[in-house]
Amino acid sequence: MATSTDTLGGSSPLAPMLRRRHRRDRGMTWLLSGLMIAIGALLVWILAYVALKGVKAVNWGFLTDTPPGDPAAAGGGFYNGIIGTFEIVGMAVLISVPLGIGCAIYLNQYATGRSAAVLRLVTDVMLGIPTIVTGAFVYALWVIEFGFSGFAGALALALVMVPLIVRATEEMLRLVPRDIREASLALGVTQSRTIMSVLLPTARAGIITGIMLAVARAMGETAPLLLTALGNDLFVETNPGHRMSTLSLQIFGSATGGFVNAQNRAWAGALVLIALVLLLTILARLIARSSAVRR
Amino acid sequence: MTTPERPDVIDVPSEAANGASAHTPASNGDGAATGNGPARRMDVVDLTAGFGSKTIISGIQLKVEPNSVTALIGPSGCGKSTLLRCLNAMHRTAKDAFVTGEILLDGIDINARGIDPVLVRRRVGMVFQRPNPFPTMSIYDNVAAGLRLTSGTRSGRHKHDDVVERALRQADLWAEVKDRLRSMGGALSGGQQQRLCIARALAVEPEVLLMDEPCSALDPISTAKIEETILSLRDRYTIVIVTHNMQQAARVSDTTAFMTILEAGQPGSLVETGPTSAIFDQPTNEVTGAYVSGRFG
Repeated sequence: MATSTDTLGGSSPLAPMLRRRHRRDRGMTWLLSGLMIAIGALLVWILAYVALKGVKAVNWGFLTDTPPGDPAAAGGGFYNGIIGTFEIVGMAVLISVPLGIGCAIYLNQYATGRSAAVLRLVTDVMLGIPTIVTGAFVYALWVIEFGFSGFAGALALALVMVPLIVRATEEMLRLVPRDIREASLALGVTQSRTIMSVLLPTARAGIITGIMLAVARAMGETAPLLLTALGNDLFVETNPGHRMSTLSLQIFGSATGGFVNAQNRAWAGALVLIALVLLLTILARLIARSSAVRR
Repeated sequence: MTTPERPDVIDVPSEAANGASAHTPASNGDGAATGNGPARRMDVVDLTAGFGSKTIISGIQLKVEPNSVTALIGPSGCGKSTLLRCLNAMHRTAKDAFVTGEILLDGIDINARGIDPVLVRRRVGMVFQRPNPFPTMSIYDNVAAGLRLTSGTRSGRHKHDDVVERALRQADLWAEVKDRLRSMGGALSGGQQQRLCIARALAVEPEVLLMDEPCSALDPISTAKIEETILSLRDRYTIVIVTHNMQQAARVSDTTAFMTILEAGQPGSLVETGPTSAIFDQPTNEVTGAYVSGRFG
């Protein structure tokens, strides 16, 4: 207790108040530190559990083979699901990133009172829609007409990603100081060029982070894919016009099947999925950082 | 006082676009070597401006002579910055902003129908209160930004070495940064950043330069440097500077305009304009006298 109360002298009339403050300060510090440790521990627990369970079944074959014809058999892998995840999420990125960034630019730069309010409401509602409903929506609009396909899955994932990207991008654009925008306009630069060459580069790091969060979310989505991409464990399908598998679908299918070997593959799939998301996030961070410094 | 007629400078949009491409240094390459076009005069006629239902300034009459420094002084909130931002149509970029009256750049109203405010801003440059270099760009790219981003093409890698050096020399920054043009603009000190912003504004060769309290965020040494820069620019540009610092107005300006709010709740108005020495030594208006002698405001 060699604190400021002692240096002020215990007899100071302020001493009781200072002691009270000091106690409260220590109490809050402990409380908040404890909460942080609890959350961190939970995360470590999940990661460690998945890693322990999954690492047994992860080997080179897991990354290069399709699942065995008999789900009860050991061996085989999720190669087709890895391919499918990259292809479907890649298509979803191609659809949702231009749409989401464009929408955010409109909200931030052009929208006036009412259209902005309506658009924000729409993105809020989209954020809240359960993704199984998004899947059902694409099923009704696309799958009934054209059948199950990887592309339908990409459409569903894009619908999940768009509102996330709109929100993140708009927040980042709002953080760009007004001074920067005016500096560009004052040089006689048009508004569109100001957006493309000044605002977006300034906000780039945050926008990339927002997109990566959306990608991570999409890579783990299962429900909307059940109704759209459907899954395909028989062979490696790369044609997005046909039904495809993804890691998330294979994890779901293998984990609920009731065979121990399949469940082991599901754990391994979960580990691979987490590793992929982590890798992409790190990669995006590196890209964001290097582009912010060098330009 | 009157400059030769140059109808290509601001005109109806189609011709203005042609005029711009012929006039932009980026497009003719030798623009860096040739001197500036003549400085321009600006006349403000019965200007009223504000946002929505709030009028900020009204009934402003002001003559800005070419090749001179005009200082706008007055208490906070009297609309000096709003007046300045009207002079390059920047005021109109805000939502629900309005402007009535005329702002003539060599006799042409910049708010007239058919005049593109983007082209007006290429003639009338601006330096802001807080230094605002583009944070993603190097020193070199900051200075070249105006040329690159207005060139119309996507050839962002175009070389502008001559223009960058000339602009940095004019802003009195060249000696300090010539060995690190590739480092980030944001890494400079506040005073250097502000001179970088001046260089950036000068690189597109405006005819008029507006400065909105350019030294208010800077230390006295940086302020002195910028004042020297302003004095050296007077030969080639028309300069309008807003300042809270009356000594600064006295040091750098030829003409001083005093603005104030005469009655609480009223919009700001321009009380008196005259040669700087006259405004400070024998103002004709007693409100001006009270302000410059420090008795109010």
